[in-house]
Amino acid sequence: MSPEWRKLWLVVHLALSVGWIGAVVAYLVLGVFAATSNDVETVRAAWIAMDLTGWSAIVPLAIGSLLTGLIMSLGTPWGLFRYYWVLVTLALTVFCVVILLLHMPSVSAVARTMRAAGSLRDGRGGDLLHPSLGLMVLLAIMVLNVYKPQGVTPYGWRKQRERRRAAERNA
Amino acid sequence: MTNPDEESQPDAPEHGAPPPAPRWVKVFAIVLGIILLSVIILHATGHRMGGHGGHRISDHGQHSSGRTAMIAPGDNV
Repeated sequence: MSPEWRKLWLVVHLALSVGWIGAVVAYLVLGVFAATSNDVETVRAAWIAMDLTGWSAIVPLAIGSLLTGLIMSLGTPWGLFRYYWVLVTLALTVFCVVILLLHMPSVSAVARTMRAAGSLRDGRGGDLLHPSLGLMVLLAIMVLNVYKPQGVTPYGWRKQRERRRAAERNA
Repeated sequence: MTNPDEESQPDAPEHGAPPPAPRWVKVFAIVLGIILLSVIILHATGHRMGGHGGHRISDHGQHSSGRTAMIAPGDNV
């Protein structure tokens, strides 16, 4: 991948990843209101907004972040499985996306219930566990990506050795 | 969030077995395992989103006739 394309993909990837974190924060705020408000209309509105925010912002941003992350890894010397920090980032991101996609239908079901007249009883309690843990994992991913802690996987170690030997042969 | 411009990881040693996983990877795995286990226990013990059981409010905040409606103290009804 040329440096120009790397920069472009990096900009897109950063925008999607940071946007994902921001959207989860917005969702968490709505979840807190759904859990703590004593006003039934606020609880109802919060659940409807959580459903919309989840499907319209969090899911597209999460999938976009995962895909651009894969492109960035495969298109650069970092690779996907060569460094522990990339591998852990990939595993955590896939985990977050899977949990998100499994969880959102439940959110939609509660939001549908909330939209229907006379069925607000399931709205209390909010949705705090998933966005709280999700936010913690996303922040951990961000720290990993900024600090890039050292550590080469056995696969990365073999690749480095092959590269060195190839360079020695060519020298 | 890979940044190819900042790639500065040192190469692993040439000879011998592959280097073991760094300590941060082990610590990370333990912390994640604890969190995952906590989530599974919370789910298994019924701490799911919505309708935590104690609060039941009918539409428009009114006590509904013909069914149980529990309002928490301070509810705006």
